[in-house]
Amino acid sequence: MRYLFFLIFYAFLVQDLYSHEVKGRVVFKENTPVFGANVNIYNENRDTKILSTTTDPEGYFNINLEEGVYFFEATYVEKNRRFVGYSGKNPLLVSGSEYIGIRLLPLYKFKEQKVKNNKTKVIGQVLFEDKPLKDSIVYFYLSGRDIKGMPYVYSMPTNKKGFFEINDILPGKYFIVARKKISGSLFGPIEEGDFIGFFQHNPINLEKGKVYSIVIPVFKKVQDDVPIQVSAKYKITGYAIDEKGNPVSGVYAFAYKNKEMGHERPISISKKTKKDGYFELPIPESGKYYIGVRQFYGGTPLQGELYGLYEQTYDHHIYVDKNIENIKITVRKILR
Amino acid sequence: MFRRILVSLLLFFCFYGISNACVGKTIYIGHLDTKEEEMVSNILSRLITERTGTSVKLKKYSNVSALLNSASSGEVDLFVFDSNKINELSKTTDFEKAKSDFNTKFNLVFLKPLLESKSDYTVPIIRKDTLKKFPALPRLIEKLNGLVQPSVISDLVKDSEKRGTKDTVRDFLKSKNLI
Amino acid sequence: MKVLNIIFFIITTVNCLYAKNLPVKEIFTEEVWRGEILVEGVVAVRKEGKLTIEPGTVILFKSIDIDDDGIGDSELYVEGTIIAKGSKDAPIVFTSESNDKIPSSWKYIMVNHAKYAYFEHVLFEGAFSGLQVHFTKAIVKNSIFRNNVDGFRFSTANIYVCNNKMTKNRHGIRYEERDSKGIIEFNSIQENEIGIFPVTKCGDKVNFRYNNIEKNGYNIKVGDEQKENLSFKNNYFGMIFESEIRKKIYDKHFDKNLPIVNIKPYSKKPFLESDVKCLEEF
Repeated sequence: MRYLFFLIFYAFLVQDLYSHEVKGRVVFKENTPVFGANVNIYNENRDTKILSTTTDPEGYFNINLEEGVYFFEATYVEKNRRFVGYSGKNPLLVSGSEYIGIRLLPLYKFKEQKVKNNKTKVIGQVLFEDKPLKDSIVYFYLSGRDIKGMPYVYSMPTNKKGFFEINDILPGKYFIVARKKISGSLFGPIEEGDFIGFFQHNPINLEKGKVYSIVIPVFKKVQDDVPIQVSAKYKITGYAIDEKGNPVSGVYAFAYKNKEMGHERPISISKKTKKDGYFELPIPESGKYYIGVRQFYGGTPLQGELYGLYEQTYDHHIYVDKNIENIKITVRKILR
Repeated sequence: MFRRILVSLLLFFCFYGISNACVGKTIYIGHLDTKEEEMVSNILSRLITERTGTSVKLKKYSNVSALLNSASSGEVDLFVFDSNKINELSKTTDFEKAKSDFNTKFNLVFLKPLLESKSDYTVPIIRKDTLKKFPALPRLIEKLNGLVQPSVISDLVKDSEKRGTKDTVRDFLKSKNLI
Repeated sequence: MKVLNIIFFIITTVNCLYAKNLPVKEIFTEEVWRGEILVEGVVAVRKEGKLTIEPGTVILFKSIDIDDDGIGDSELYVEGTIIAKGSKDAPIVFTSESNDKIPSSWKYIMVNHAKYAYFEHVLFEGAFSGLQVHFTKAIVKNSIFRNNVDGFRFSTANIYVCNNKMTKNRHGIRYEERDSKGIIEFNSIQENEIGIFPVTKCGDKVNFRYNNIEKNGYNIKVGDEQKENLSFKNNYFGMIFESEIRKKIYDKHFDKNLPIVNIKPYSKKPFLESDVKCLEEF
């Protein structure tokens, strides 16, 4: 009997360790949610599909994944036009709860042509919102995992028509990624305002004696795709702090009209807090709002998620009829 | 003007407070003051409550336009109209045209008709906002397709006069394996 | 029109003022309840507050329904700590102040984002929900949930629920498991309209085992938006043959769009009081 208990607890433990909730949202470039997009999760080399799901009317999806490295893609067809999008975090090590934002871009085909000189060549164009993007770099990787490491080769910055060329590349399978970092650096993590785009037919097998003409559409990394932008009449500003009073970074403040917070989408969400824990929450009009902060958005808060509610009123409301400044919200991990 | 804005704001907040102060989401089904329509609404209500746990309340109206006004202003989430009412309101007998009219003018969405024969039909109509909150509702309501013929409903009304609406509706839905 | 507006104004203002007048008592420090306590409106145990309820305490919730939604407004709302430890001879009682203990006479005990909750030898009756637990670690033992709409209700919680009786509720246990963990064992879930109601987002992270789930309208009924199959192994369903048990489990066998509730292996005899062994530690 004791053995059975042990087994059951062990089962809990294993489940806890290996199943992680991944939430995300698929949007078009105008930030409009995409209902019914297919979200496909591949292994890190994007050659085996692990599972698929579809987005809800607000563009959200929600899946459980075992710990591992994954490649996230979304596809969608509207009026015979095909769209595809990739998470800028690809390939992503899922070892806890994650949020994935995916922006859909129109699908571009590529051309291949035989040439006599037996060399392999790639000519391409980098586009941002259908227009050429100058000064972006195109990186060729030998495996999916390398995308966050060293490329095999990379291009010169694209010219003002967005073009680049790689002459005489070794034939083989490549992952192609275009980036333009605002800092001007060639490497390092993608930050807000940087551009990133995945070649939509990754991985591509480049054959000997062929010229490939490709297009790589890119998107601009916004701060984790804040889904709600409201025109603000007022704002609530304040700080997320921990129980010792230190600022907490990486959380969003939110405002609900609904006391039960969570049955509907919030009216407003702030940007993610930085090191100082500071947030600004736009409020559309005067009234009673229920206020808190959390680590992820979309769906129910998770165990271990950073979460806190405004504590000056028992039901966590603030009546807003002017700007409210310098509120403090204490953040704790749910159920820890 | 200022007062009117104030009033509507107050109204809005009070209404909001009331509809949310309790214990979850509530769906309001509107119907006209006839026994048959009330029966159909009771069937819908019971089905939704039993299957989703969401509370449902009925609201009775004396005429079509009052019901429609309530639906477009958000006081009613769901109601059922037959083609007679729709044809009269939208001045057309074309289902598709009526459907698009209701959508653009009132933000109301036609679900799959519960009954259809030639040009006559009975269709559940839902607010777009409600649909966003309850995206699975159409699929649930569709389970009633073909089951609420006038003859069936009038039998149920008769039965309910003997044993009460609650039992009649429950037994009807149970007999169809729907709850 | 102007007159109408003014009337409207008065009605809504009164309504709002009245709504605001729902009394709220807040507990910020340690408080002990004993004897008879009347809750009128909201009692909120705040984050740093701790409410201890002594054995034999009777908590009466006043039947007021200011918002006219058919559900009493009086409630106990806990975000701090609650310890309600009654005894077999002197249970703690949460009930309606009025004589008829009909469901929804009062709202609920809501334990939400709280520090800790412990309930033992407690009677919950006449509420909308006897007890709701969300985002909290809670232990509920040796208690009775009777004549509520939802007896015990939870979502995203770490719970241990042992040797309770849920009876004559609309839903004995209602839950959206979401990110919950826990064990629900040795409970008698009998004579409810629905014994167990997994509404949506349920998996098998909460383990229902060794429960007597019988004599309910449906012993288990799966919510319309529940997608995954569920497992209720090692419970007793009041009957010996699977075909009989299946008649009282509303799942794919009734509606092909619903998932399946797996029940095998199931117990062919009820769990008795002598079988009950609640964990000491959780």
